[in-house]
Amino acid sequence: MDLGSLLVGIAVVELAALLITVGFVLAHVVWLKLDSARFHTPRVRAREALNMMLASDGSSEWARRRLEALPWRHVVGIVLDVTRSLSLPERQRIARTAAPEEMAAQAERMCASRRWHIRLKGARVLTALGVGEANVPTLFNDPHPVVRAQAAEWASYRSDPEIVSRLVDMLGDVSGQCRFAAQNALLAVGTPAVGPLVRFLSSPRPAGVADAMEVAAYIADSRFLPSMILHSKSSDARVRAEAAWALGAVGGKEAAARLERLLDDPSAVVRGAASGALGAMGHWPSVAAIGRLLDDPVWEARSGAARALQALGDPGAVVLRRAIRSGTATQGDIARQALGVHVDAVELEAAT
Amino acid sequence: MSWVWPGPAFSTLVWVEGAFLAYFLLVNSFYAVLLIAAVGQMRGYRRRSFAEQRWLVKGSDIAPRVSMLAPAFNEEASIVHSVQGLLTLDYPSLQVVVINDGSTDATVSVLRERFEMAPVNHIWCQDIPSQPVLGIYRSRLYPSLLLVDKKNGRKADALNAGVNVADGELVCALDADTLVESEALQQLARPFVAGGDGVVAAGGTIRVINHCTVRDGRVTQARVPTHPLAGFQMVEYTRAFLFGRLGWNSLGGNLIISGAFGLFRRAAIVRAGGYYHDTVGEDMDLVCLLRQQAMETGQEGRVEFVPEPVAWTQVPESLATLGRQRDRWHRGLADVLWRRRRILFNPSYKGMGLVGFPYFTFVELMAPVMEALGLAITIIGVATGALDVEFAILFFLVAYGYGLILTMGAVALEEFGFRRFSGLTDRLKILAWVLLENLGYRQLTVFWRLRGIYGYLRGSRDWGAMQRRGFSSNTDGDGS
Repeated sequence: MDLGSLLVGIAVVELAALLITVGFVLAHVVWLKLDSARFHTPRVRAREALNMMLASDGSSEWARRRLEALPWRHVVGIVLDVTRSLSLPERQRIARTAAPEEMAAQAERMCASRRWHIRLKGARVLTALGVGEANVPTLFNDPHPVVRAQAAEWASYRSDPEIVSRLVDMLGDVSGQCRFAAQNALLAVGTPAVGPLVRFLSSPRPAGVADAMEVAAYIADSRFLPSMILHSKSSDARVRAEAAWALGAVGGKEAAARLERLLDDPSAVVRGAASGALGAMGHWPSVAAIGRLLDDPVWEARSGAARALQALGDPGAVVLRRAIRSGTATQGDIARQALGVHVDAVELEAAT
Repeated sequence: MSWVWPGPAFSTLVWVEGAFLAYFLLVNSFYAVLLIAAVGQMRGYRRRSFAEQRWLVKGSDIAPRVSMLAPAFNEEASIVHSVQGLLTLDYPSLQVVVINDGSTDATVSVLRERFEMAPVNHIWCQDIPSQPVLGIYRSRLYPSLLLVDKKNGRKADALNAGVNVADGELVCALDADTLVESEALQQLARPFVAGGDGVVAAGGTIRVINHCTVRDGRVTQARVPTHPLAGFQMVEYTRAFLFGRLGWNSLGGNLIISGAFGLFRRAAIVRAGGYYHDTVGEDMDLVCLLRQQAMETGQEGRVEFVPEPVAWTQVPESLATLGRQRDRWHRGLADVLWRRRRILFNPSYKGMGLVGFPYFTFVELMAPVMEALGLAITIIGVATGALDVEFAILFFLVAYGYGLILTMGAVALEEFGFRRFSGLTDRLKILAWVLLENLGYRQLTVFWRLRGIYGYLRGSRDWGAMQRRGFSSNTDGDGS
């Protein structure tokens, strides 16, 4: 092939590629315009009908007819948008009365697809509608983590014991996204999750304990206390630290006593968490024990102690002032920060 | 018509030109691989994010706390808008830390008055050395807003001071004139939630705010700039982010997180010793160091690019300012690549050492040299008759035509991915800027980058003068 032919060939290929790409872009724009022109008003009306139904217990049949007049992709978009900030009962109401009958049925079929992104779409539509009890729980064992996480999201606000148990088991999932979704769902479930969580924390398992402790700290039910004390002796520092915060959330004499023992933990993160938890509890009898940590060689422990003493009000302030007056240089520095006793800025500049 | 072979010297010229041709063919082919990888990433991202409920992070009690770090130097015109925009970000656990880096204008007084800021007892530790902190203030109106007043030490130093004072698990480094979209943090935090400690940094997309409509610190309507310089830069940013960085997610991970908008693990930054002062490429240097340290300790050290979260920034509309910016960027690149040269071709660093670093060294850094030489040799060759016009056309088709198609591919990715712009007019403007980019603008950037290499070799560390204009409802730029 001579150079001239090569040139022509390359130029033709490049021009064709350019025209195809530009053509696709412009065609897409035109399609969007036409789609918008055709469906803009029906979409607005369908959305209005749904909102009116929700706001005033208005006719759901009218909303259903408006939605059924739209292509599936628009129906899904509107329903997902409207249900975004609705409670589970309100979403279920839309599913029962206003959403096209085929919508939930099609989403359920999608949950059985071989392709993960189709299963994900189905699960998200069912989550938006608040239905899917027959199909979504099977997705807790889905091979794709995003689908499993969506199953956890779907389970939020559902107190069915079997579902809650599946959520608790997901705290040991290998995927961080699944664990996060499970934690959030359990926090939404609230008190009905306590029993399964206590069982989870009582059984010997290394994975998921720290995440379960984090949830327990937010729910702060006294039934967690034995598990918290047990795990405050874990060999994993992160678990001990989460247990410390959880003990602080639950409160009580037993929790305070255990936290004071944790002030001597080998891990600075745990020491800091223990003092922080005591401060959050408002447990002022511990001020002296916390005050000893102002001299801790590790910043996490020192700062945790200083913040705890700040939180403990006057008793804490007494300890901080004593640290400034007669403590070591380390104690004095952090105590000054905590009390806002500022070294003069000019002196600081001169010193550096 | 066949090539002319006039003699040994001219033969050498032809072979050298052939080598340049091969270089551009290889480079653009690699770009094509990157584009294909970007398409795959975009498809996966769109599938994962279909109908995603934002409240998963937004409504979460356990979402990682984020501290926004906004260094400010002489920003009195725009600082209030910037801070208002940050305070209204839609994220459940947020701290905003403005670091006044020794401003000589009224930045501090404007902030203190507008947000009713008073001195506060803030417990913090100087984990990373920085210039002295003269005072820390908290807003009475917005308790999550802190102002750190310090002596001037430039951007890296200001960020280090901010990292010291911040209490978030994640820190987000920003430029003072960046406007972050309200849901951007929710999206940007997801890799950290999903990837755990394996993820050390994540970056979003930077878009050009010039000629967009801004109301109350938010971009309400995105428009394609009508100013040529801003338009060409918009094309560059689209190519760099939607095609470049997205593709790198599949090919060994990113080496750069934009200094204008990046999210990092605070603990990882502290372990790394913070941003390095003595470079103008501090953002790339930090990312390389974070990945390097993570891999050396057996961790993943992933740096992810998330395409959907957007931060808007002004781009320069004057040649002088733009030239200084590109000069500085290229000096920074050269500096970091030299400083971290241990990574190059080192299998211990896996994809970063075997693919990413070589790419940045032999393509990003050397491309302006190759392009300038290739162009010069082509012109000389045609003028002296060693090369015929057909060969010159072939050079342009490979070097520029191929690149043009790839850029158009990036625009198509934007169109099918996020569709930020509305209307046929804006699409036609983008296409026009893509077509015109190679007719002068690209050659200018080659010149500026060459100047940057020259400046680096001479030891220049200068940032150059910057100009700031506040955001109005129809922003025109001269940021840098």
